[in-house]
Parts: sequence; C-alpha cells; structure tokens
Amino acid sequence: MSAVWDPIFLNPLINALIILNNILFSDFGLAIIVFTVLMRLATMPLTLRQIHSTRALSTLQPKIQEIQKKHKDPKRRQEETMKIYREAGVNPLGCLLPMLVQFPIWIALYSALRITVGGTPESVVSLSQRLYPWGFIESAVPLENRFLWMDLGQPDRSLILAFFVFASTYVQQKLSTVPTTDPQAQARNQMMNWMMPMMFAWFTLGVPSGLAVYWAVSNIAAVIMYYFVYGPKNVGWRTFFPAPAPAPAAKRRDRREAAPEEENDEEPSAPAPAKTSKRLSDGRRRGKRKNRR
Amino acid sequence: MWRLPLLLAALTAILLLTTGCVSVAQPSGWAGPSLGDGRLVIHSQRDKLAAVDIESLQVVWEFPTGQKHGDGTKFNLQGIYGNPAIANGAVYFGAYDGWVYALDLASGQLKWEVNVGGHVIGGVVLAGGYAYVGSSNNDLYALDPATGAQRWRFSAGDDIWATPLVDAGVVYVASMDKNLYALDAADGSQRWPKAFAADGALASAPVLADGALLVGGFDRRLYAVDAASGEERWSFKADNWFWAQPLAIGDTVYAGSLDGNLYALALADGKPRWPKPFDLEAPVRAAPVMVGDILLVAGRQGRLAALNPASGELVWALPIELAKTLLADPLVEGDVAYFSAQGGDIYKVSPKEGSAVRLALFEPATPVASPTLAPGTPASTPAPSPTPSSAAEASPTQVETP
Repeated sequence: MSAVWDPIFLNPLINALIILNNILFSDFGLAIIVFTVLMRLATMPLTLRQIHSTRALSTLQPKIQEIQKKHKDPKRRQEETMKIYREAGVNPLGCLLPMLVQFPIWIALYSALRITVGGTPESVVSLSQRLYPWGFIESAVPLENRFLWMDLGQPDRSLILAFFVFASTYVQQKLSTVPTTDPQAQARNQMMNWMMPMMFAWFTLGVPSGLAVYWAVSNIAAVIMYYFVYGPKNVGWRTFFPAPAPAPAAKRRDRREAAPEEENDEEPSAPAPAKTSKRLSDGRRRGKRKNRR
Repeated sequence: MWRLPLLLAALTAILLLTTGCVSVAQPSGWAGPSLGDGRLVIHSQRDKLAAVDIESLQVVWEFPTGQKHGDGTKFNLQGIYGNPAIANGAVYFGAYDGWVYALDLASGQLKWEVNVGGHVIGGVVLAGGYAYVGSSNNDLYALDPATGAQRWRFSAGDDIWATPLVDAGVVYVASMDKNLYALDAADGSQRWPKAFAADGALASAPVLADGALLVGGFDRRLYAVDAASGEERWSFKADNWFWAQPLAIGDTVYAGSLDGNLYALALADGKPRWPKPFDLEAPVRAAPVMVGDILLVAGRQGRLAALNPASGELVWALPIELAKTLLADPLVEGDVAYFSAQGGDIYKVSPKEGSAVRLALFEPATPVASPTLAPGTPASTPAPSPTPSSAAEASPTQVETP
C-alpha cells in the first residue's frame, strides 16, 4: 500500500508543503494555511455540488415522505425514491463526495506532519527518504515547527485550538445543515450540529496541531465560500445561534423583522439554512402571524 | 437523509482512529553502548539507561527508578540519542527531555542534573576538565563535570544535534544552522575568522584526520574542512544526506549516507576508493567502525555487513539481518563490536567469527543470532557461497560459532 500511497500522495504533499514553507518565510504554519486554502479552492466545484445536492434533496423531502407513507414494500419504496431522484437530477451520494475527497488529504497531511514537523530525529531520518533532490527543498531542513503558540507536530493542550476547531466546525456545520420540516430530522440535525464540532475538538487534543490548523482553516474557508455563493442575507450572525424564546414585548418587533425574510423563503434557489430552519420549526407561530396580518 | 451526516461522522471517526491519530511522533532514542570499569552502559528502554556487568551480563542498575527532578517533577527521559560518556567513575549523558545527567557508574545514583533548555540529541564529550554538550535550544554548553555548573555557553543559529569534537584546546561543533564552528575550549570564543558554512544542516559529529575536519551535511555532501583555517578542502556529494559520523583510517574516509551506501573516499581529495560504494539498501545513520581489519557497517533496517576496507567487498557470505532498527553508533572493544538496536536489544558482533549474538540482559533465556561466516572461511576474503541467515530466523538453540 505504501509503495503506491507514498510516491503518489504523501511524498508530493511533503515536498509541496516544504516549498510553500520556503516561499512563506520559512513559516510552516503559514504553509499549512495556504495549502488548506488552495485545497479548498481546488475542491470548490465538488463542494458547490455537495451544497446543491443537499439543498435539492431537502426540496424533495415532501415527495419522499409521501412515497414512504404510500408504499409499504421497501423495494417499491426505494424504486420510487430513486425515480424521484432521477427525475430531479439529484445524486444522493453527491453530498458525500467532497468529504470523501478530503479523507485522503487528511490521512496524508497527518502522516506528512508527523514526518515534517514531528521534531524527533527519527522523523528527520524518515524525511530524508521522501524529499526530492532539490537544494531548495533540502535547505529548509530542519523545519521550524513553532507557529504562534503551537508546536505543529504535537497536540495543542491549551484548548485554544480546540476551541477554534469547535467554533469553526459548528459554524460550518450549521451552514451546511439542510432545513427540514420533519421534527425528528430537526432533532437529528441539532444533534449533529453539536456532535461533529465536539468530536473534532476532542480529536484536536490528540492530533498534531498542524492537522487541527488545517481543520479550522478549512472550515473558515468553507464558511467564506458559502458567504460568497449565497450572500450575506443567508450567512448572518443570527444563523449560528439558537434564538431564545422571544419576550412578549419583543414579539411584535420580531414579527416586523421577520416579515421581509419570509419573502426570501419563496425563492427556491435561495438557501437560508439556520434561519429558515428556525422559522420552519416555529411554523405554527408563523401561521398565526400570517393570519393576523 | 439523516443517515448521511451520521455516516460521515462515523466514517470520520473510523478514519481518524485507524490512521493512528491518537498518537503523534514520539522519540525513541538511538544511543549506542559505552564501556567503562567492566560495565556496559546501554539505552535499555526508551526512557531508561542501564549498566550491565560485561562478564556476567547482570544488570547492575537502571536509571531512573522512581527518582524526581530537583523541582519535584518525575523523570521522563523520553529517549537518549548520544552515546553516554564514561569518565572519572561517572556516566554523563543528555536526554530528549532537555536534561544532562551525571550518574555514579558504580551505583547509578544521580550526581547532578542540569536543564539545558532543549532536547539533547548529541553526546557529552569530556575533555580538559569540561563536559561539552549541545542542545536544541541552539546552545553548546561547557559544564563542570563534577557539579554540572555552567562554565560558558556558545549560541549557534539553530539546534545543535551533533556530538562536539575536542582536540588541542579547540571544540568543533556542527549545527543545524549549516555552520561548523571552532571554539576555544576554555572560554567558547570563536577560533576561525568565520564559521565554515555548508549548504545544508549539519547533524553529524565531526572527525579530525590529517588536519581535516570531516563532517557530513543534509545537503548530501561530506566536507573536509581545514581544521586550522576553517576553509573547505574538498567535498563529496552522495544521493542523500550524511548523518553518520565518518570514520578515518589511514588515508581513507568511510562515510555512511542516508542513501543507503557506505562510501570509501581518499582523505586527501575525496575521490572514491572503491569501484562502487557498498549498498545496504537502507539509510546508514550508525557510524561505520573498524574491528581488527574488518569494516563493520549497519543499515537502519538491521542489516549488518562486514567489509574488506580495501575493496569494499563482503567478508561474510551475506550481511546479517538483525531485523531491528539500527541507528546507534556501535562500540568497539577489542575484537568485538556492540550494536544497540532501537528498543534496547544489544548485539555482540565478532566479525572474524561472523557471529552476532543478542545479549539476554533482562530475560533468562538467550536466543542468539546465527553465524554468517562459513566455517573455515578466512575472515578477510569474501565467502564464495551465500548462506542467508538472520537473527530473526535463528532458533533459540543456536549458539555462537566457536
């Protein structure tokens, strides 16, 4: 496995990171950040496809629920569901692709960090076997493994990086969550919105901090990408926080603010995940408001 | 639809766990053995040093055993890379934990400890009433061997991983800042107008021969530097870095490279002496050594070869495969050499007999490596027929060839 993996993935990655390191003032932390942004840009078409697939799937939910109610036979139910997907031109696995593409990068980056900024003499011996014979690259060794307060080859025990990973994963997760009217799905989404950030924050305490920097920067890049694709209306601060139950005095003002946003909901192509999700979850109240009006 | 995020979460968790994300690069250490007063001092485990009686092979002491630093923290050596130095009834060594230790050779009791503020990768050198040691905080320390008190300190531009060399009142030290420095042994002042600058980091311990300092670099070059002036005499380029300490015998330099080759070069001009270098097919980090008239060299993968120094041909039928990671500089004592493998195994190698015996230091049974020299084959000539054998394959009943 390593006979293929190393020359195709790992060694080019190590050398690319060192070239970036040399360009970026011998700062390996900056090299990781720039590498992450470049990777995000490279996988942007896939990411956009994922977002569109997810959104498309969400619009098909009512139809799928209808099929589930209508057909008791699982085979028939699956056939009908796939038919709907085909008609809508949606691939349900389209959501998985960008994530799957990132897995080899994570694994390679993890190995690369162990070797490049592991800091131990053993890792330096290992590094010698992976560098291309270019003086420009070899002159960078040994690499500086300090970045800000972190040792990039070691886990960051200060919890600062874990916090950044948690926060950025939460925001990114929140943005990519598909709004749904199904209360069960809403509960599951909410669970995922907390579980994924907590899981990555936990991993941050055990992996080289360079990898956690990659996660945090990758999340931030995804949020920025989302912002530019879907616009500021759909990526506001309120998107990320569960709204408190409005006080009676504030209800009227809240209604006034909510009114223009409801118009956005009518546009099928405009996603507003968290806001929409929140409003949809309060669907009964919205109905009342409309009635009052 | 909810299955997708759950699937992703599960996939992520599995991938991270299966790729070993629960651990980071950990030092293991590769200190070679040292001998003094009938005691073999070895790096027995990752965070342990032990003294073994060379006759009985009984472990006399281990360090640390529950002691604590002066500040109350527990000892955690993390790994030892430089061979321990033995002098005046004491053992001196530095560890990856950033401390330099002096132990009583007889009892293993801690005599003193000094924190040098960075990992210690090189060994301690004792000369002229000083103990010299480099640190990963860029500094070379000159310490009082009796107390550990700092006499002077020299700051390089980057880590010092190499063991310094002391000769005629001058300390030569190579640094990862790509410079080789010549310092006054008494006060640390620089002796050369300017340090010798290589194109790559210098991690190998320099060797002095015929007025030339031989030092290898991460720029794939072995340099011969005039010890008096600091000027380059010649350099030789290999296919990978030089990290092993070179060996100079007569007018020839033997240098192992991380490209897996052992090179024999003319000391005068750096021209190759052998028709082709000897290929061990794995990085050579351990210094080559001469035992009698046989040249011994080990590759990282555990391959041990005995060579004719004049021709570079194998003396044994085949190299011994110890199936252990060999990175430490071996110790030569009389007509045998001791090789230390990562993990603590010690091999006693008798080149003339063609045997490598693993010393059973912490266990009752003594499985040994098999001989590779065909019986009756003269040690200085290559054996005609290969007889592959390895320590891993050796049965516990095999014994050292008489």
